[in-house]
Amino acid sequence: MKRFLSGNEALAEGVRLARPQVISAYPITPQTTVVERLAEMVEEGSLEAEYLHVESEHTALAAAIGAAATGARTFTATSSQGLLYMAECLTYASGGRFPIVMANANRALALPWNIYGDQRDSLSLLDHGWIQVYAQDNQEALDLALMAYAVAEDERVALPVMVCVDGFALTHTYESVDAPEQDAADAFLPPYRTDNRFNFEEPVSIGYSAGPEHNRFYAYHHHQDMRAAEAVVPEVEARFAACMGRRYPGMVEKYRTEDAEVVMVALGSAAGLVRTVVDALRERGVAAGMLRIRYLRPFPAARIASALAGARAVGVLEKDISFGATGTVYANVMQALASAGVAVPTLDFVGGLGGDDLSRAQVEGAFDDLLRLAEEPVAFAADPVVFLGISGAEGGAA
Amino acid sequence: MEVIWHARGGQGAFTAARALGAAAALSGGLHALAFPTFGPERRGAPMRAYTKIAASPIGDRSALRQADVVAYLDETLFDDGWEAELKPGGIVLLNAPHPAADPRIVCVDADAISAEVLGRPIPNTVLLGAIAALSDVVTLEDVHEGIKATMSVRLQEANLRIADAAFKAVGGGGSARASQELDARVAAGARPVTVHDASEAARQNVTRTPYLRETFALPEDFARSTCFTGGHLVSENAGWRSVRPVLDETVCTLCLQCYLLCPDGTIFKVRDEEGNVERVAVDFAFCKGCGVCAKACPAGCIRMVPERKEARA
Repeated sequence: MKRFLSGNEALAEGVRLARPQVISAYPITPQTTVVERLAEMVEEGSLEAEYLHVESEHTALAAAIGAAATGARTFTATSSQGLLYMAECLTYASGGRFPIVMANANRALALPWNIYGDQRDSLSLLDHGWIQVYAQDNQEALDLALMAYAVAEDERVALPVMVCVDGFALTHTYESVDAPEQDAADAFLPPYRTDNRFNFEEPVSIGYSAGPEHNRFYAYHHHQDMRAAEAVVPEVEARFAACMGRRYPGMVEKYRTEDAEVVMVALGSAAGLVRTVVDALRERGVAAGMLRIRYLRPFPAARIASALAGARAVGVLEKDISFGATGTVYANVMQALASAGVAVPTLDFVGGLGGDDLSRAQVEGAFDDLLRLAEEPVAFAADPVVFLGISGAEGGAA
Repeated sequence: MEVIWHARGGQGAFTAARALGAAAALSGGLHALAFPTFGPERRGAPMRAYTKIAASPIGDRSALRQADVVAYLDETLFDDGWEAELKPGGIVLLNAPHPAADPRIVCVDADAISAEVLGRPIPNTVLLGAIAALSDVVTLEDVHEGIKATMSVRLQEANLRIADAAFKAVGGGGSARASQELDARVAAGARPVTVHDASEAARQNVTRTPYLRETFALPEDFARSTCFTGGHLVSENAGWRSVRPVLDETVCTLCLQCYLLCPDGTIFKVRDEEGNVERVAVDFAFCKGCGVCAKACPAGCIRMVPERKEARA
């Protein structure tokens, strides 16, 4: 059924359709309306779940881990400082191999205090062993809530998934969304069954330590099983398409990249604007393209490198910066290119920080820079990082 | 079609923005985005909302700078900047009980039309009905569907009637009732009360916040720490204020309770030539009129006075 929903409402609807048995959450802007909506659903009876009102984000995830360790399908959601506050528990969830799904409403980090959207929160926690996927619009936010459980609970994977949704640009923006029927959702996502759980009949020990002689095996299998998700995601999306009629493109989405001379890599909702600018450039005869990274962990390095291999210049547009280095997405993309031996000049466009609007003029300016980069790579040799909207910085028209 | 909604918190502008988006997306077969200016909200504070409608999916999620329709739910927010927000061929929809001289401004008495149905003025749905009358992007039927999709069942019937009444009032797609002499009250109400007077601070010989209160500092100069000598805000908040503190110096004992308790650090010490504290004063560029100082004052020397008294009189 077609509905006009905010990103948070769409996400909550997706979670409801996934029938989580335990929801444990603490509110934080711009995530709050997800958990408010879920609380209403539990209250009105449209979702049968144990809803835990906890006193902090740290406890929100700790409680979700406890619930998952009983074999329950669990959900939590957070944002920004809340995600950082629960960071200690992130590795407990992933190392314990609990397939928790958590929504993160991407938001800037303090100081200065800022409640608006950027992606520094989740990107700073890429190394905590969670699968990370980024939605580009409200439909994808809803659908990912369902698909995330299918990926997380697949026994080849058995890892938690963080569904990242851009704060405000998605969470608080309304657009039309096709909400699936419960029957279709049930056909897509069967109940969660696992042996990785407390069992009163046959007692087990959960959350034990592994010393130097065993630790590496855990890390190795965590890594291998995370990698396995790269094969599981397309399978899950194929089943989703069969049940719902909507197709998703896997780990990355290639948009007009085949013959593109300049390609912009994008993450999350910024992809919509990049797509619009690519179309406009194509109409003018400029061979532009976009590569949208959907899953940043596991990192689809080979897919990224092959999609970018033919370009004469590549840009990364991202809402984050690793101070003193480059944007985190850029660093990852560079690693993909280097591993594959792809030599192409690159720029890192850092914009949309702290809720700053990514404007069409900025993205057009960034593509202008890429076209110039393709012609004269030396002009940009000093520093690949271009801060959008800062006067004096090279390129990326303010 | 793109619409900018100007209103004060509580007037239902975002509901209208959503209802228009839902009208286009669910009933009109188009694509739509609807979003408010993001961030903290306060009843009575100026806010904006946006509706973008197009035949294909909308990738650009940035705020609108210009629109085809710029709707003002509150006449006091209408100011000299209105033309800059209008695309060529665009119109302003103004909630006002009197016509405007400029043919691009369509006045509709949204307070009266809504009050007749609801018993109190809630202007948002009136402007929705007006948009259906003035544009060919959404029909009145679409707007009905938009209202049903966004408002609770309890509110729907009255709001459907309001939309119908508004549709009629602006001529149902025909000639808008506009183009008469601009009422002097529009001009008077056009400018928001200007309260920031940099020269006032200078005249008072104030130890000023080094950056922000020093007239117009640039981020390049201050964005290196979050420490300021006074005041906690990086943007002027005067637009939030509906009442302002007025301090009676003849009663003030200089106990500095207000100075300590102002949540935004907007009360400052005024010193004489020897550096002694002579009195306290309020930086009205940042005071948002919360009234904590008046409550805290043990001498009772601070009164909260309505900002717009003269405008209402």
